[in-house]
Amino acid sequence: MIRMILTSIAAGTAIGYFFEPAFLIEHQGRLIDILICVVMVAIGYEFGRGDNPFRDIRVLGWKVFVIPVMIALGTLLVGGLSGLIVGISFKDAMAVSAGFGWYSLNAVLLSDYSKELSAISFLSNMVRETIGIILIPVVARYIGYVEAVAVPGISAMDLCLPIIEQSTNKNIIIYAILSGTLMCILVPILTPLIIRL
Amino acid sequence: MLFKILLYWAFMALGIYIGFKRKLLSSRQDAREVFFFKWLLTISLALLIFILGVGIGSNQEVIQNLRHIGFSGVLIGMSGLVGSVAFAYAGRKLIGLNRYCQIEEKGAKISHD
Repeated sequence: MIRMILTSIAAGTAIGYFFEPAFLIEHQGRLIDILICVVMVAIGYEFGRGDNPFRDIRVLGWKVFVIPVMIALGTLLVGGLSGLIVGISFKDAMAVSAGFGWYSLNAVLLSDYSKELSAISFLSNMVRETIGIILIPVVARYIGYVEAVAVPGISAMDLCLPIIEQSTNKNIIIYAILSGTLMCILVPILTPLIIRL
Repeated sequence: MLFKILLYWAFMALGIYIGFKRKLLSSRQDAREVFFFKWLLTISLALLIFILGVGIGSNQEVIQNLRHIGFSGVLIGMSGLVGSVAFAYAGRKLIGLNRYCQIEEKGAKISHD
């Protein structure tokens, strides 16, 4: 799994940088959407064929929401604190972290507030998603399955869901969707809120 | 964005429906069918990540900004990542899940596929 991810992303980046294939770049968004849909059907198939994955939810009840809330809190607090190291205020760094890996929206929301912060947001949220893809199998193997959901932030719900599912088990899908959905709702609410503080 | 999420979920629901129906219909294990869907998942996933890489590599803005604001961007991004992993660990301990996402008290059988 790790080797496949590294090979694909390295080959893609190198080809994108050196050859700039016009077709792939132009239709990137659409191609990604189509592929995610194909991936979703394949995951759904495994999901539907297997044993009931919602058994945990019935046993745990409301406690399942602890995981997504903790993931969001951890991002905001530690992300905010890291700003102090690079000389950005806690508030600004927290606003950047409130992107949870959704670089397009967070960067746009910050662009009126500060151009520089918007660029930092784009980069940092992209780093989170890209490095996340590589780290998911590592975290799943050496730390834990729930932690692997936390790694990529929002894209745990779409782009990274198949990677998480392949590196863990079907039980985890529900946590991935819950935490992805929560963060998805939080980005457009928290980002403007934090910069107005 | 909302439309896309709903679209993804619709496709996942379709897959769940197919998988569930096939499980009910067939008493024997359809090894080839299961293998086909696993193969489909791996291939489309590799393509997905490849295309994502093409987008990053060909994005001049990102490549150029890398030198300029690279350090703060990478540090904030990685801190958020590490922070959420640490908090997820705490949350998992709090509600009593083991590292394979199984409920600990009842975790007599340990299986991880």
